[in-house]
Amino acid sequence: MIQSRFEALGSYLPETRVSTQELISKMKFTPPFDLEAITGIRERRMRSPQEDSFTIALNATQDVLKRSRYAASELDLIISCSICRIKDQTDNYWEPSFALFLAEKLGAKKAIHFDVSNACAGMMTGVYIADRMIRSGLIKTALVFSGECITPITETAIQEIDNPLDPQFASLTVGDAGAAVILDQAEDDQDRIHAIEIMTCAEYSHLCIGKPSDQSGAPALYTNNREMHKEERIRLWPALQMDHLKARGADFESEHFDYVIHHQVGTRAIQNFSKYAESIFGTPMPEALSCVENFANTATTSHFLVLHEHLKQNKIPKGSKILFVPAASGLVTGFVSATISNLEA
Amino acid sequence: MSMIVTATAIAENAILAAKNCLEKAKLPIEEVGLLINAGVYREDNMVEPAISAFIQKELGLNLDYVKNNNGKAAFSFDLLNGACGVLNAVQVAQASKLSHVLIVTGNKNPRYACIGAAMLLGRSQDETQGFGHVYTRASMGGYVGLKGYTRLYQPDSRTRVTLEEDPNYESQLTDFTASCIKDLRSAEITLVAPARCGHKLEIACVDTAYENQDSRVAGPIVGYQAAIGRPKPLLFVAGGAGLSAAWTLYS
Repeated sequence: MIQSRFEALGSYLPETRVSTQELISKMKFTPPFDLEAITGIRERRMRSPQEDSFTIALNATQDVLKRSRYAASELDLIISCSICRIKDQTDNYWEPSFALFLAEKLGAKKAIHFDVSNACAGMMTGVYIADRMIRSGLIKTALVFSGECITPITETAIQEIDNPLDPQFASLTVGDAGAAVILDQAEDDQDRIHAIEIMTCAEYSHLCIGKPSDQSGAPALYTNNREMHKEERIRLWPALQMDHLKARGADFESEHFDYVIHHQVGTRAIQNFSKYAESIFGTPMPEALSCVENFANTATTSHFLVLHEHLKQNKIPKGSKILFVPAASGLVTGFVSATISNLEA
Repeated sequence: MSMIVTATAIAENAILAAKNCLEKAKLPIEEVGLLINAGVYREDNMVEPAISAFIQKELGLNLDYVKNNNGKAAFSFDLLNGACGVLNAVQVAQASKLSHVLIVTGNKNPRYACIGAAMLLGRSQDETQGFGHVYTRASMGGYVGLKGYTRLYQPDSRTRVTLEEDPNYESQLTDFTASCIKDLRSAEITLVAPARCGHKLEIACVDTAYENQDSRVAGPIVGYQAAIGRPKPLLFVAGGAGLSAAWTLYS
């Protein structure tokens, strides 16, 4: 039976570092709470005036191709997964697909190309599709990428927040980053995607909405944070994973995960994800890897940025089994489990 | 197992089309494991969440895994690739191994038919039935032909879409899509494509237009309904900005 693996990983971070304190100092309305203390986010990267979703994606995809055994011309599938698709700094694209723009730029002439849009679960959705298409034998190689140019919503929030319950506060917790991953057929157990199951619990689709601001036309995000991260929402992922484990006579402990990478909402939220999961699975969670303090919530790229940063610091030994847990508006959650040995950063 | 069309529907919007489609199929809603929205132009130029999540909610499709307590989950997302999106969604459905996949489209851009369309796909044991391999091609010549975008930071960014269409776009696209399928034309197949593609190849064609308007992303679904009763295999062809084309046979 064909299975897939992560063959190569790339990323890109804009150079400009902006601290949470600096953001707060620019706000017209001073929040009545300590945002840095609540989220654990000290700073984030923000794009330069010349950068946008396209340039960030191009940097990340060029980075992954440097580490991959495949040339762009050998790729069978290219999926772009960012939330915004901003090109030429101000234009958010609907068509042609961003994947096609990148395919053309990279020289991926034969690749199937399309975009997916699934909020912060975009890259995990792309990985789900790539995995299923590799497993089914339809394709052999896939590039899944995101040029996440998300800090325009931060600038909008700085200008527009005017009350302590404003729905744009979550917009202050994001950062720009590009990520790209190439998948191909697994060759052994040391590099393999074991399982991917993602679901949308659409009862909560209204809790986080991204669209141009009605005040300025600038990108904006309106989030009901309190409802979004309630315990009963966090319990959705463990419930799904436990049922899948039970169905094949396994349990969480017997999976022997070395690390878990949660969506990078904030340090406290990450602790809560693991805390609630422990109570449901009835076993301690593996160490949660994170880089939210330095890079904030980089939306679609968050899991792969964490992976990249920890590989770069040689903190992930070969043969590590990692659990990735998406959490996105929609509400989208689930799990990706993979053993990783040959990825480099 | 191959993927066959269980039911289709066209309506005022994506939600109604999806509801009508599921009613026609008489399939218990919770059996749909994957919902893919291939619609491009949407209300308020929204980028998050996926529009599919709103459609899923209106359908009442497996809304909360824990509260449902029936072990059924549904996954949904938007897949954007202009007019080729539905055939790309068919590729994803084929790979998914799921029993039932619902593909929907909606459109809020008045340049194209403002309709919703839905196509429910199921599985057949008979490998000679259903969708065959979906082929795709991009022209890769630096000619995009059509760009659709929202210029941000404008007072009307929430409602406006700019379409930049080259005067030669339609003819270039027709030449491109026709060149992709010219070797497949035969007396046995029924072409399902924009009428100009049939004219170019000088073969009979079931037009994918809806009430004389370009149905764009909904094209394959509109065309499927129009081709009911026509001889199979059907040859679906879609082409759009990029230039980008997708085609497949349906038996």
